[in-house]
Amino acid sequence: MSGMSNEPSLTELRRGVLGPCVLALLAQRPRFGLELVRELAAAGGLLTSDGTVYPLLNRLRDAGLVTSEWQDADGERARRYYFITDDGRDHLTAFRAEWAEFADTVHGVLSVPANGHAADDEQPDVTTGERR
Amino acid sequence: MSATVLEHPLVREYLRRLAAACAALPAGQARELREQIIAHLDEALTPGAGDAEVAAELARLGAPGAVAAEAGGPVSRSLGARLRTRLSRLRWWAWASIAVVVALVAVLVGYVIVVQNAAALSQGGLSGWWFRQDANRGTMTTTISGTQFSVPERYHQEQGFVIGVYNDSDWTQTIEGIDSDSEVPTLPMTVSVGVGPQDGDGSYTAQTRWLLPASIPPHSYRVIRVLFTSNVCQVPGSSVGFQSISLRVRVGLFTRTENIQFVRTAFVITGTKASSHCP
Repeated sequence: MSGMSNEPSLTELRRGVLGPCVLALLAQRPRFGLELVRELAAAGGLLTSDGTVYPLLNRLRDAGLVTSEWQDADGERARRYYFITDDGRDHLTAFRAEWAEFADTVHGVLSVPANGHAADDEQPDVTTGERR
Repeated sequence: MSATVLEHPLVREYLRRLAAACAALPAGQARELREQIIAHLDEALTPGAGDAEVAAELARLGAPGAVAAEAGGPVSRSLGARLRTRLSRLRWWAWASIAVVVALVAVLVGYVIVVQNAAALSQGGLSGWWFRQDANRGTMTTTISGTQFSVPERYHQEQGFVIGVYNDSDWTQTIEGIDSDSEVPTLPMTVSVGVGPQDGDGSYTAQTRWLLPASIPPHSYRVIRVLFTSNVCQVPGSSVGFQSISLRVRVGLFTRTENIQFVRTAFVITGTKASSHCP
């Protein structure tokens, strides 16, 4: 399978985990939009594009997992900060537990070499039918 | 956002394409996304950013179509779920306001139901011709179907009758006039209510004043007077009669039409022979 053909599944994988990653960052402290985007981008491999973070934030807010508020600190521009809610923390806790188990399972399956068992098996000669 | 960055051609073009791509989104959602993207660019780009820097930032944001598609979202939530979420975020004062509005609506609906179900006026008490000459000339015929008061028509002269009515409701009812739908062009009518010392027993005296509009208290009798002038000369053998009357009656804040049926009673004017009054 080529690298290009993996892209759609990676995109779906990113989409699935990006929300919990945003919640994890907001669980540390409130952040404004660009701050979140930069940190997610710096983590590497999580974002397909920076702009998709904002629709995600809006969906998380609609789901009651985050809230947002404009704050205008002295000497700084007004920024819209995002905060995790109690429901968001519960959601994150549940996801962390599920993710650990899920990741172990996936890792266990993926870590088996493609020919891990074939090396020990006797293979018939397809041309003669005799064992080599 | 600084004017410089906002007016950069690449930014303007990006925002234009974003607006077009968001056309299918709800207006509020599209507006919010645009504000977030503008804030992002404002924060990320310095006012004097060059074309290359702006282009790089826009490339990192992603194609407007992709951003809009993400907003349209594969995990778009149902209307019910969004409604529940929005309701859960309402503050106490919003709930208090809703409660007040609901209470007011409930009170108003209850009021309308009670008023609309208030008993209509009904006939009760005396009845007879109003003018002495009619009373003297009138005849009374009693049959199994009721009593008919008949009197010869006095063409183009005012005639009339009085009849008692009873307000059997818990509301004061105010008679405002004849219902327009029941008016007869050839027999214009006026109605008034007797107000005076005999109010309690539903009769009237010389001191009674005839008013309109006039109120009838709950569970009380009054006499109403109906005057009319016939514009059609009734030929011998013909007649016109009254077995009910429709009135506009105000109950509380509402005015409605009440039809008062004359119980086993009819007032009839009959044609006169070779009347010299007829044209």
